[in-house]
Amino acid sequence: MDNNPTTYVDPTGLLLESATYGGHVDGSRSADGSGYNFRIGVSAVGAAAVAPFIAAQAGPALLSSFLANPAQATATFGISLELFLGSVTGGDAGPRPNVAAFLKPVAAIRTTQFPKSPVQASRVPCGKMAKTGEQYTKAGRDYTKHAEGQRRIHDYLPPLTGTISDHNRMGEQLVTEILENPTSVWFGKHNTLLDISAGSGRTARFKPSNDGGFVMTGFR
Amino acid sequence: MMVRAEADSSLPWAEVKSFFDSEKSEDLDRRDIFIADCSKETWNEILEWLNQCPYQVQFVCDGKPCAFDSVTEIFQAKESSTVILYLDLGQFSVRTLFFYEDQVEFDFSASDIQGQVSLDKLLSFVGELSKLIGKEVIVSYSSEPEGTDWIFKVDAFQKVLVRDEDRVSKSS
Repeated sequence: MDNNPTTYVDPTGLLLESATYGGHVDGSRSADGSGYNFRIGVSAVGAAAVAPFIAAQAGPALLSSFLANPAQATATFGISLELFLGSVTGGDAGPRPNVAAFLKPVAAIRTTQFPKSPVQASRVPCGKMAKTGEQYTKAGRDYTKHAEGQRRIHDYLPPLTGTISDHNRMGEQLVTEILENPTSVWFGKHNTLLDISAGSGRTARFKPSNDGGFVMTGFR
Repeated sequence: MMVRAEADSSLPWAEVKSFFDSEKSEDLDRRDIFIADCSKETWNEILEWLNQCPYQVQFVCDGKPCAFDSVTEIFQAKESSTVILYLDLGQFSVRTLFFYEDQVEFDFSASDIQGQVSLDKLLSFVGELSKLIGKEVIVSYSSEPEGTDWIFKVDAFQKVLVRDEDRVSKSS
């Protein structure tokens, strides 16, 4: 499977950075055409759990030889899972691990680490009740801080108008948009944080919650 | 937690720099300035003070510049629209959405506080607020409302309490 070249990022660096949660999926042909440069990672899983598994399956030297079919992952596990990697050293002819054996634990990890959906996580009430009887959600409150014109940088969200309920609706809509965007990528950050980005600066950040799931901390 | 400075003196940037790292924080780029146990009278005091300050003040209602005659009018407008007060402090700007009558909350971008000069301006503004209303003013992370996840506080006697860096190290 050939993947349209995108960007190259040091895969080792990314794996280290994504020590706990998330990862990223991206790949490009190496300049000399002998294989793929890649960013390894999977949407919706913990890279800390994935990385040792990859190492156990293929050995660190063969990390770059993974090649998986996203459509197959979706059909099999009902989740968006993408891996598109070639072999930096061996090109398409390089050795390949057992893809099915890799995908199964990934699906299990996803289920245990994210019992609440991110959209649910974004609906957590935040702050007290207003006189109007409305109450901000995490997503709504943070939307007020990141909407168009509210910051010197990243004015990429719709402008801020209406009531608290309107802000909550806009915040949740944005979370949904980020999560449902097929090009969204998941990054583990600083061991405990998970950023999900739909590009164009539309990124939601989550942190582990006490119940084993995630809560939204805000937009980026 | 230690008393590190008076609000009218300088708080060393190196001591608090990590609290304004928007990349590593779970709260990313927003920080709050928070005052508890307020009332409409507190808001009135603040707005009257701002009218006399050299800061540039602008009200915006649902995206359009507007003006209000009283705090009551602001909170009435807020029941059906978004009212924002922007305050340009020179080095950076702060704003409030008048979330609640009984608490004052401004917010600002952590990325705007990137050195001693902007930190001094922030500390000066917070100190002036504290002096004006005689209450503790908290600078906090933004992900938890009501200033619970604080960075530093200026009390009514202008003492500055700075949080230890445990919070940052947990996130990094």
